[in-house]
Amino acid sequence: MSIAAVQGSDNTLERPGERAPLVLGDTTFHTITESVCQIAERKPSKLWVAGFLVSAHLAGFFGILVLYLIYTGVGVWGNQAPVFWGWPIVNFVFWVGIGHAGTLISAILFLFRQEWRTSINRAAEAMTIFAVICAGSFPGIHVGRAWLAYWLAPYPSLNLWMWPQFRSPLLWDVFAVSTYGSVSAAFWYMGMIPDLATLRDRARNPYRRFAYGILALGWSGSSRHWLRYEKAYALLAALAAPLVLSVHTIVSFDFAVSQVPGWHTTIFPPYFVAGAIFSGFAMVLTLMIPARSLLNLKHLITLRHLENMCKIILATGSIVGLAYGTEFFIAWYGQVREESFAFINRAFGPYAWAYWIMITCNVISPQLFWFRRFRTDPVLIFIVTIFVNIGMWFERFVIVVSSLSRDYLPSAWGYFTPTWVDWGMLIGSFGLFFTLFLLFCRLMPVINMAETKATLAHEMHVRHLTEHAQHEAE
Amino acid sequence: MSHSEPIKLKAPDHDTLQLPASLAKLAVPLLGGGVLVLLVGWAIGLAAGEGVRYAMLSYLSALMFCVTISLGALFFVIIQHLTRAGWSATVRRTSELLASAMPLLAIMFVPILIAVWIGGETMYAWQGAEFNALEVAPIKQLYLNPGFFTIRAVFCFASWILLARYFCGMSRRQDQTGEVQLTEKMQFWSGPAVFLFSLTCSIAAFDWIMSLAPMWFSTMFGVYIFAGSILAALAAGTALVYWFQAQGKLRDEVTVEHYHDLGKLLFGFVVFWAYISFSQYLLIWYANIPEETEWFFYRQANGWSWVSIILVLMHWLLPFLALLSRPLRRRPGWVFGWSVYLLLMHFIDLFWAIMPQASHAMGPTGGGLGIVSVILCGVGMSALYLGAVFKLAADVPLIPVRDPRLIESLAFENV
Repeated sequence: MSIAAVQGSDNTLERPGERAPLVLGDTTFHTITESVCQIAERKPSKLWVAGFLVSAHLAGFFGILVLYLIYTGVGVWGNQAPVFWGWPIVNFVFWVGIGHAGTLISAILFLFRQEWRTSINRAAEAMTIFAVICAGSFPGIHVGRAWLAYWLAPYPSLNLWMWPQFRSPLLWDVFAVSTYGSVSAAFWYMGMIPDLATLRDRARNPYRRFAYGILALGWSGSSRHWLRYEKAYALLAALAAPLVLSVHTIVSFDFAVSQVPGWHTTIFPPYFVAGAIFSGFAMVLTLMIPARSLLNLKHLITLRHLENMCKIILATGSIVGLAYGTEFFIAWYGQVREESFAFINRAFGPYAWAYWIMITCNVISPQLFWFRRFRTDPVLIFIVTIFVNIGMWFERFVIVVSSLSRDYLPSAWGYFTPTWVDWGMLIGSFGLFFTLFLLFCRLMPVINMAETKATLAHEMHVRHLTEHAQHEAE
Repeated sequence: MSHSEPIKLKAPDHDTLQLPASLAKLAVPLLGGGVLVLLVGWAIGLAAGEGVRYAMLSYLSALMFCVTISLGALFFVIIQHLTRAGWSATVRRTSELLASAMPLLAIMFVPILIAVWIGGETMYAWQGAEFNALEVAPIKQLYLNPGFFTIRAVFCFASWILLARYFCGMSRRQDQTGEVQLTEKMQFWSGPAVFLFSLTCSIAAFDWIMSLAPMWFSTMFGVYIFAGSILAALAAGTALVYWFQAQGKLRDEVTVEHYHDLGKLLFGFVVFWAYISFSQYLLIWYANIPEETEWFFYRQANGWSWVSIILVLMHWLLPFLALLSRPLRRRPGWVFGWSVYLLLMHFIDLFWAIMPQASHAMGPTGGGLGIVSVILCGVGMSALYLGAVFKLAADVPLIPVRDPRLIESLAFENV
């Protein structure tokens, strides 16, 4: 095995038997430290400040809307009979889905020895946690009396003298999402300790040093620390890997255990997981493509990283497409009247517009990634990922709203219309998400420096071996 | 990843890369004996007491066992190219051989087609009188009719044979020429190949197994068969490699590291199979809609519940706990043992999916004679399949000797 030679910044090509380098340019250990740490050390750029102000205001707007909702009641949403699960649940499923790429990258790709994960895992994990935060806020307020949301906790409540309903997937959701959130956060934080120590050691300002010092937990970089770190990392990866699958599986149970046509279908668990990974990777790319330019990280987050993610999007998008097709076929094959109706209604009923947006964005647009041109041009990738983000929001809209609005009882049929609060909360949740992400970019090491250096060391070693072998041959 | 000693590649005709002579000699007896045992098994099935259908479903169980192994192996080969995997080059040829035997399985599918063309009560209930009396029968028969069924079966087998020929043929060509471009070509086609594979695999699962219960439907069914296929193919591939090694071959090429990785994959697919089967069961059990529960109801009555419990405990729990162990995965003998065990479990899984449609009243033993028929058909078909694999392997190196990623595979270590 040898390392492929690269011209310019395109490291997407490798001949079989070679491996393309994942760290480009005249990068050394020192320049990795510099290029990552200085992002958190220099003064924020004007663009960052502007972005932060806009998103923080939107996040604040979200907070105000939540207060308004709690003060006034859930009537401020468009939720009405028969669609009691309106946008809040759509947003919840959307955000949980987004939160799937990070832990997939850091846990599953780690177990599969995919070294290209090293420079993207940190930011993707951070994104995961922020998405879970956005997601978690929606069911919390959707319960109606948000001040009683703690009744979801598994204890025999003092007011009701009874336990929560353990047979309900909605309760499993509480466990699944909170487990996922906490394990992802622990994994993210643990992986960051060596890099936080680097920031601590470089800090000139004593407050800064103190803050990073607390976070770094006394990391000294001794080999004993590394030994334990590596062990703990592998164990956490193994524990986190099933969680990537379990969360969206259980979210899919929220729908699929019911008898609602269009919700009750057995393919939901793997199809939801594939969809979640699909949307998660799209969001990672949506964030990474601007970030790698603005933060000057193109030599670490290379075209190859982007291309690999595009391939995952193509694969999972096609799985989602296959699932749509299978659902449609079985709805016909099963010859259950309500089931067939639900699907015909999706595609040709009052929500047909949403359905076809979903198909265009989720099934058709990722097919562009069959072409190398679309996988290697950051601008084109960015455009496709925006389509995917939109499409995946609409997928949840189609599932939640079109199924509920026309179920078994025609006399109860209705049409869902969102209110300005629905819109405000969707936009506001994006504000919250971007605020957290921008803060992360400013305060934390956005790339896993330690692991990226290990990748670089490996590449240098292989190059050295190859050169040595050539000398011997001569 | 690094290796201190330089690796030397062996010549393609090196003795340790050839099929062991003892196994090569087995090919013809396996083929002949397989056909014989299969015929006896089928004939006993006729006597089991449920007419031709029992014998045909017994035959189908056996055939599906081999088809799923071959299919899973095909998928394994394709996915190695798609992901440009480096670790697996030394164990890929075994899967290529398992996949190459597909034409034989296509021929063995002909009896099924004949049964479908005879119609009536011979094979599928969607041709039976009871089904014909249903109101929805004419609509469902737009899909479930002998003509269209045959077209789809031909399409599926043609696709798989084409894919197997392409990927295995190119790999064989590379043995001679060593052209790197061949790997690049396979990489290029691996994407569309997975596309075609997933479509045909779903069709096959729906048509051949799910439609045995013609009113029942589950969107998950294709994934369920797929999960079992991959597990079976990994198990079969691992077992074969170990068998070759036991005869003194591939000793330098397949290391503990490869067994460790195969063990991890086996573990992963044990879990994946359980995840898919459990999700399918839970969703149907929970919603409790009669059209859907019927299928599981058949499998919870007349002794079939024991088979269901065996699947939960022995297809999932036991191998899950065992393969969790890293020391076990690094002992080739143990990995081999669990592979053979998982193949048996896969057969029971298919038996459980297929046979209740023939004899749910008689229970899993099929009145005594039934179970004998199922076992004989299974043994006969497997022998036939294995014979074909050995025949194909007769003058083929057991590893892709000039694969550009072979060195990476030889050198790799689990950290």
